[in-house]
Amino acid sequence: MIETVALNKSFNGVEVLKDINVIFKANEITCILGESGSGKSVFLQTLAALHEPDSGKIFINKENILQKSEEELLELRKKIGYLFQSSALFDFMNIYDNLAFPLRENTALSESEISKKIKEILQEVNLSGVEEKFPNELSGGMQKRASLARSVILQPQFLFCDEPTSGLDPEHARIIARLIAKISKVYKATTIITSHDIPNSLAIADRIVFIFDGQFTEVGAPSNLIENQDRRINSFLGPYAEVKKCMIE
Amino acid sequence: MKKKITDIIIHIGKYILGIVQETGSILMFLIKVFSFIAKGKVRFFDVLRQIYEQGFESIVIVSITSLTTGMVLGLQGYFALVRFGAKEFVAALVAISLLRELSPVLTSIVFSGKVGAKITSELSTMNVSEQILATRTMGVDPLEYFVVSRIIACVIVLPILVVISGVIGIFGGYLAVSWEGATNAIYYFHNTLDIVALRDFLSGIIKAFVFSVIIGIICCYQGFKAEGGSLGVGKFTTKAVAYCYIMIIVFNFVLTKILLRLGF
Repeated sequence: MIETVALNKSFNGVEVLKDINVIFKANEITCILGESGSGKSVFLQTLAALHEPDSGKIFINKENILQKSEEELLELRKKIGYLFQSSALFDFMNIYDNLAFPLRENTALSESEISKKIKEILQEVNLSGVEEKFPNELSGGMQKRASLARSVILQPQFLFCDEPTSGLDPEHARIIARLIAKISKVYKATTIITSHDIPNSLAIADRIVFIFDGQFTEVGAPSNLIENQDRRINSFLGPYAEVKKCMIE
Repeated sequence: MKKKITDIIIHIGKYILGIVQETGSILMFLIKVFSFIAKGKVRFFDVLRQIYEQGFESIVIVSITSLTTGMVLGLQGYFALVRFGAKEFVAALVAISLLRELSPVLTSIVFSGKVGAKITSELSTMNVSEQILATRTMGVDPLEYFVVSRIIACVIVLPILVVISGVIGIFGGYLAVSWEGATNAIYYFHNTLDIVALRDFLSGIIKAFVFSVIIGIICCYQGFKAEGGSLGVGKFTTKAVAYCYIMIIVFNFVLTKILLRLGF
């Protein structure tokens, strides 16, 4: 379980996160929806202790991670799979070495065990046979899948996905979203996804949270959107507000 | 008028504060890197790869720079000394100038333009594409993974390049002077070995060592600080190289003063 208490974060005097109190339950997929620049990525990076908040507390498995040293945080982050918006694959390594990196750094597995694990995970994300390719030789969708494979190869307890479907065509966005949902269930990971991709988020989320100007508005299950009359939420949903009922059904 | 003066004072104050903050951040960066080295967190194969890349990339340009500098120094020295009837000192002039000053400074400047720029552009590209952040999310400290090996390689490669540069420069000086028909090889090199003391040689090596740390730290630090996409990569790379040039020139004076005081 992850919990934030009165979390605040600002950059150069601009408040990005304002008094955020939220709980992410174990094994649930939560989608944080919001416009670009609303603070979604900053929130996710703050949860992974990549940014230090101005104030507030972050509890992961009931431990306040803000009291941990950088070395302890490095240990903690091994339990977190993080999928970046830009994929963030190492461009100087081929896909095999990219996927082997967390295993070589954090486990005592032999090279043959690593190879076996990479084969399995690439099969899981439908990317078999790309081991020798470099990231720039893959399409955007394939890079996202390779990056997803790398983020879950240590079987993390938590999976953070920052805009996983951005920059992808609707078909590939749907594939990635379904893949995240599948992998999240397989590894029983507490998954937090930031996105502005409404249909895919509604399709895979157990819970929806909106972020407007650095503040959270909880909706709960996607089906709750039918009853929700919040003006900002309906404005964000745009045409989906009209058809949300049909979509959820 | 009063407001204008206040604004200028505030502006200067902010500028000075910025420099102090930047210096503090660079020192913290340096301390972190040394603490990793002290803890033995050094990736041996990465260091070897960096040594190969940095050395291989700079050897040709350093050789050309040193050879031509030695030749120019030989020619200028010869014609200047002839006026005073002291042409036999040309070998000493070339050797001491190169070993104590020109080789460490010129090689470091060439090295920062070639290797330093590469380090900053690589790291800043990784930074703006979130690869450095990704390293942290996988439980690995990016400083340990990307910076330590690059800095150690700089510290090993630059002094070696300075030695090579000195030798090639002295040879260049001989070529230029011998073309004027003013010396022969035995006389020139005998003169060189006779005049050059160990302290001249060490003075250059000590400078190269300090410059290598400066180049490594500045270039890695700027790479880690980069932001703003591809424009940011260019901006921070230029900044890193410019800072290296300034620091090399300034530290050269400081080191020369200190080393001469210490008897080097």
